[in-house]
Amino acid sequence: MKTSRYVVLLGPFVILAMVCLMIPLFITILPSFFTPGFSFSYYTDFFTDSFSRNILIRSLRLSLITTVICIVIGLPASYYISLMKENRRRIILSLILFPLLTNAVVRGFAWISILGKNGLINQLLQCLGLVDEPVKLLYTDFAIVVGSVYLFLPVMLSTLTSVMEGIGEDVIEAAYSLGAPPVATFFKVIVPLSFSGVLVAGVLVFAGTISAYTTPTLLGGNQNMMLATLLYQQSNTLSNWTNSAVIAFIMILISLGVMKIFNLIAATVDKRAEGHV
Amino acid sequence: MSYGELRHINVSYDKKNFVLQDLSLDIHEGELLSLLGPSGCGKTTTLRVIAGLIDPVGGTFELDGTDMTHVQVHKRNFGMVFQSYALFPHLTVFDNIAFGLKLRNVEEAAIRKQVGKIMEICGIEGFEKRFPKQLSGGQRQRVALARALVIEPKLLLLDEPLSNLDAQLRLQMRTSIKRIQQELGISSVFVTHDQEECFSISDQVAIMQNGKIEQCDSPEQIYSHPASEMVARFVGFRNFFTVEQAVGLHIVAGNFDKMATMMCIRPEDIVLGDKTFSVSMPGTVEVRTYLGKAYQYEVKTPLGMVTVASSEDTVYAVGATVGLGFPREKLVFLN
Amino acid sequence: MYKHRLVTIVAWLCFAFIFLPLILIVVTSFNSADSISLPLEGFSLQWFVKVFRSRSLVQSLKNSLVLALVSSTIGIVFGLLSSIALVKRPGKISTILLSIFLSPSLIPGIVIGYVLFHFLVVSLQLPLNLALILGHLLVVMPYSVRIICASLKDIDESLEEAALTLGCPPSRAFMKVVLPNLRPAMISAFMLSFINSFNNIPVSMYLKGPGMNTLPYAMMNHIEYNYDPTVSALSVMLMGLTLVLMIAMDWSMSAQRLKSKAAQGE
Repeated sequence: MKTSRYVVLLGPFVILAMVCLMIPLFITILPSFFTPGFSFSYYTDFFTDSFSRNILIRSLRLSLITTVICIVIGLPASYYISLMKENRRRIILSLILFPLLTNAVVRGFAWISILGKNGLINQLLQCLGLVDEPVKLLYTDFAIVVGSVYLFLPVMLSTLTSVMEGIGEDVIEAAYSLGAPPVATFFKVIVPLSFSGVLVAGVLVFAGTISAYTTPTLLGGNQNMMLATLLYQQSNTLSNWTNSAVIAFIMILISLGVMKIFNLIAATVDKRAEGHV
Repeated sequence: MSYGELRHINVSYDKKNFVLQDLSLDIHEGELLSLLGPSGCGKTTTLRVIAGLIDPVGGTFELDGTDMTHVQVHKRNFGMVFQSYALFPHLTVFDNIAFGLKLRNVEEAAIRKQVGKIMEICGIEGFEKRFPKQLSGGQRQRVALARALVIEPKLLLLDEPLSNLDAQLRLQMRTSIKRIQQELGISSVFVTHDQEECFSISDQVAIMQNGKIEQCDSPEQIYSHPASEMVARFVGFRNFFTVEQAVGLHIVAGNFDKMATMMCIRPEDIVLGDKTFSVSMPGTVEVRTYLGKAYQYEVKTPLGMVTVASSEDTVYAVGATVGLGFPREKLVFLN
Repeated sequence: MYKHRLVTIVAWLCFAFIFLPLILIVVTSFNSADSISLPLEGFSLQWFVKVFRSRSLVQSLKNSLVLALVSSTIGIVFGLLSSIALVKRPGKISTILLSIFLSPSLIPGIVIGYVLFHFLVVSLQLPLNLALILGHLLVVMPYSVRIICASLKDIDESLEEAALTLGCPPSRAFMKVVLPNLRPAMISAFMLSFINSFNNIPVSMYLKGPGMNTLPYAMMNHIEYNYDPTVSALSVMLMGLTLVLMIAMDWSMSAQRLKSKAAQGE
């Protein structure tokens, strides 16, 4: 292909990526390193301020919890799906993908109806006479985790299922024939062989949870802020450009950092696999 | 003067390493020319130069007296069958075959007639409305052939067309291709790495290595008189000696081309007898393998290890002393 | 094959966890009670009627549909052009550009929304509707590039060469034999782009303005002030739309799989 044609074909998206992504990122974030001389003081401020530091820690903690829950539920559930017959598996997989394609507001709204003060769970508990006062479930860290798990479990399931389908029955049968009981087979064969899938999906869940805005807003409220809600508050409500830039840059660093760590782990795992062959 | 002439063709992608180097080749009218060689020898590149899909950095290509070197692919009117068949997945068999005719603005009725005729020749009548994905490998192959032939090409180019078929189908298809090629009398260039396939259908064979043609001859000539050690090895010669060694051991007398430095012989052409065998060189059997029709022996001789295949009744044990005879007419001398 | 009972239990709890909330929304949208509660009181379509009575919801629905349609359409056209260049001329530059094109799906949406707002609206003072389209174009860019690139790589390179040898001029070969085989990928790319643009909140949220609200954000506002099944009804309609898109996409994907298999000559 001639260079001129190459340039023309790529032109629209290159310009878009430059004007709407690269340049804005650069221009927005650069000032956060100047006070007015080059310094990290905005960043040290962010980390020393207990309010923002707590939000960062909460974001990391809730994302980690969400990821772990997704993995713990996702492994057995995907194993179950991968053992289903072709037709049923196809149906269940498209059903699982369905919530992934619905709006985050719709999904958050469903959990408001369930966890709210007059929500389903409280109605149920009061009916049964277990509690007199409604239990506070909504606007808690718990609600954020439930909502986030709900948001990202389908990602975990679809990724893990496709990995487990690739494991092949012969490996499992080989384990059985060597005398491994089913439980041992699951933990010693299926889980390690699904490791790459767990890694991929885990990164998606973690990065997704830590950068989600809608779910923490709807289910966490103003009290339980995460980085995304803090960024929106700082930029839109308070118009604090430098703080916003600091948060934005930290969020980018976390997302890219998680990717980087993931790549490193994946590389070592690959090497280990080669060593075995 | 031949029908098609490639002269001093050079192909290079980086202007340092040459994929084809000073390659010249003749294509005779109505004949099937095969390009044979190991993978990476430049045979497909040569075919693509002929097709016009690759521009050579130097050299000329003439066809029927016309210079084709710089004629664009779509104006050459050559039919090409690709290794992957390259059938258009979104078109039916009929539309695939009619593709070239429609581009030539042939009338609807004429298209139907020509397509019908070529489908009959290629043995795919009745598949008009199917899509490529609904066909078997052999059927796809025939559609690809029909599509290339229906435009009445000046030259038919086939790029390893049989490599994706199973062994039995391959045998059947190569006979079909040969029959159709002869029936239509179309000059063809056929690329393959399968020696048997190549020799069975070709009128001329060009054996290639490292972007050069080692030998271009009829299959019979190549089989009996390979021109180089590479060709000789390619067509089944296993035993190579220097002429000096052979003269020293009285295997040959002085009645041969004085330019020759090497000589070779096939395992099955060596005569094997016991040690009393008259015109022989002694040797000891070291390895014996059973080939079905014959036994193959690795014999240790003053010439070094010699491979002999013998279908005689007498079977020699490992360790046995034997006599080897080298019939003069079976020895091939190489420069 | 043997399945431990625990696996089965976890799996079904997991399915229940995923589907029950959505079922709850569907059920309560047809309930006549004016809050989201069980047991059901009676069948009613009033909440569906209410959706169409709400001017802000209807207006933002229109905005979102137009926005998703425009950005997805432009997105797949540009995505096709870029994919052709990236696939037909592989190399270092193409690899870097591809990762840039895919990066909006790696950078948190809220950050993209913020920097777009800061640069396009505050610094460049672009009109909001233009900024919104540019922002959504950025949102759909990774989907169109990834899907179309993958499909283009799958298509046998010899197709174009075959067309050339049959007498097709180079300018028309791509249109005649490659483009028709990219159709399923283009449809999938369009639908995924559409869904992602339509559902996007972080970018729209920053670039909204008077009369320029999008549906998801309007729904969020609605939830803040009115806690009634209107949003359930709207959600049911959106799920219906998603379902239609999903079925269409599944159909086009499976058609594509068959065709690419044929192209590989299997």
